[in-house]
Amino acid sequence: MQSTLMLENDNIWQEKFNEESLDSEAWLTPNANLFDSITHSIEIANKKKKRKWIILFFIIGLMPLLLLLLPSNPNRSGAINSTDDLITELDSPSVDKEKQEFVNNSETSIIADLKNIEPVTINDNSKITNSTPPNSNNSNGVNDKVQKNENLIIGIDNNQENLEDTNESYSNNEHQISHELSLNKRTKSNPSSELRVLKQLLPIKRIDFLPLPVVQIPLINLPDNKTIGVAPTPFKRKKVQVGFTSEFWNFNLNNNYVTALNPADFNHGNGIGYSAFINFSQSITKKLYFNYGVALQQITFESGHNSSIAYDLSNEAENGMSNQFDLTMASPLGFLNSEVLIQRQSIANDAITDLAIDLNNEHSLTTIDLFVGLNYKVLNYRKLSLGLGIKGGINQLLRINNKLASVNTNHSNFLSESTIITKDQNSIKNLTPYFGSSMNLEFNIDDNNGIGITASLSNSLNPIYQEGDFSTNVIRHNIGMYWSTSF
Amino acid sequence: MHNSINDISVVSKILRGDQAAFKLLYNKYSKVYLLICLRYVKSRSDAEDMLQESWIKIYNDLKQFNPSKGKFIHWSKRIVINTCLQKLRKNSALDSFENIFEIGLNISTTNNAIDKLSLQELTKVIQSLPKGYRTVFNMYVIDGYSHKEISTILEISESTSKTQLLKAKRFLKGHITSPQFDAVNSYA
Repeated sequence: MQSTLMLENDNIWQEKFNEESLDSEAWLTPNANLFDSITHSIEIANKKKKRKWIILFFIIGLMPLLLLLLPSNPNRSGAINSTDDLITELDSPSVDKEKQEFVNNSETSIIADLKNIEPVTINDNSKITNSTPPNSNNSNGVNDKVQKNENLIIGIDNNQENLEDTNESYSNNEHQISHELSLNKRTKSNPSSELRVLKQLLPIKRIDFLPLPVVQIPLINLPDNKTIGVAPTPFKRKKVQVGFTSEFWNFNLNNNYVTALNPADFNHGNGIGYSAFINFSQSITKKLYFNYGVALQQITFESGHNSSIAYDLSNEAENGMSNQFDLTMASPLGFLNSEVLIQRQSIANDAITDLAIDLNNEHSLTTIDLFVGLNYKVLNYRKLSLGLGIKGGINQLLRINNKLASVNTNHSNFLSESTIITKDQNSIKNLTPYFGSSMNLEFNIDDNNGIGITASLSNSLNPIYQEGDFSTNVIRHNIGMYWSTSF
Repeated sequence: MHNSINDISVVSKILRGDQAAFKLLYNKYSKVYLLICLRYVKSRSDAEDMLQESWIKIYNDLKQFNPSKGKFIHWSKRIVINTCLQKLRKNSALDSFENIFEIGLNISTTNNAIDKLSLQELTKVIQSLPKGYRTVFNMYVIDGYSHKEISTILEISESTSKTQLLKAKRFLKGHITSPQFDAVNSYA
């Protein structure tokens, strides 16, 4: 008895507390600000999600820039930059003495020419000679004659600085300076004093040379590359490739899914579409490249199957001759829902008419790939190169769009009036990792640019659709063209 | 199971980003969800906190709702109940299932006693239950969980679940039929 009473009480509790309509219960109205709090929390959560994607794409976009900033090998060797050895002290008795010696010494002269300088290496015993000995009477002026000196060249900058030299025998000329120098003694005995004099006498802004006895001097207007052994065009370590491919996606439904859909005569087409991609390559060796990039795909495909419905005259709306049906439909990527309105064209013989309907759906996917890989140049022949590669990545579904393209009935008195997709597939894996191989054939237009053909085959590592025992995998093929730039 | 076409179309609109549709759904079901929350906690503010969390979870999980598998109201109620239970677990409200001094078992009750009380009064009665009794009572009697499911969710034994239920009902009997019972109607 007690248990019966208790059971009856349970039912009362259930009835009281499970009414769907509580409009009359004013005490159950939530706080007026609650809805705003809810929408605000949802907005913040969505912004955080978007922020993560933005940061991810920013990092990917920044990667090529960071690679560009990686240091590269210098093209020239033997850069001479040190001027630390120069002695800045100019006004000292010993310097004055040596200056005077230079003036009086007519054995050699050094002529500097900004426009025409040849490289030389000097040793201790070299003398600087000039085909035209300096005119000793010209000590108050500047020797205007400019000649190539095969033994010693001093690179100078053209500047307007006035010399601080108090020696009246030297004056500054904008383009040319003649200078008498005997290096033998000075080189051996006092290189540093020689440098002091040089700095004092010449409008030298910069002297680039190694410490004596060997001097290597930077060159200007090199007449012949072979003379100085300039390095050949450097190997281009980085590439960027931009291109388009045609995409072909094979949807492989597992046996359980196929078996379940067979009674409905399910059929589907494979996905066809296109992709735009950008790929960055960084050479590891001359033939092996590391790639990474992003691609955007747009794929469309169709599917269809049969279904059966029962048109009931008693379900017709007051002013209409139609029945509305909520249908669950199958696709390669799972189940979706629709509302279909079937209209009766004329008087029906039966209160309930069984109809077989043929449903045809159109689907489109927008996805984005992030990938990394390796590419190896197996063949180089003149301007052609053939590369083979492997790559892996993740494919993110951005958008799916479904359309119930047609609904055909087996009874001419009942036709489809309108259709609407009410719910898309909800068991699609938005993020699918994949792995594959690729091949590319590239033609070099010039040292920096090329065009190529690329083809690849990829297999998803996880099913793109999974729901209970049903699943679908994707195998992707593509072929296309690209433009390549090296730097 | 046939879903209300309105619910399906409203859900579809929300999934397409229609904020007005979300408000429509909120206005339709908020009272139902708040009633659930008020059964699980004593204070109104805690109940509204749970209600807010439940709505956020419902919004975020809308894509997972499959109309062919059941009604929206049933699906969403489960989310609300789970949110309440998670909150109670976080606050360690379910840690103890105590023995409360029981009111005399000789008091009998009839359906009429419960019928005479309003929904608000009945809610208050449930809130007067000790937390362990209240949780098991709500889950078994009103929300339709089995003792096996309750034992799994609350991590107690089935016998504990049954005992708690029995004690809850005895407690309620005493409260409903006791002359000292005084329903408080204020929910301001």
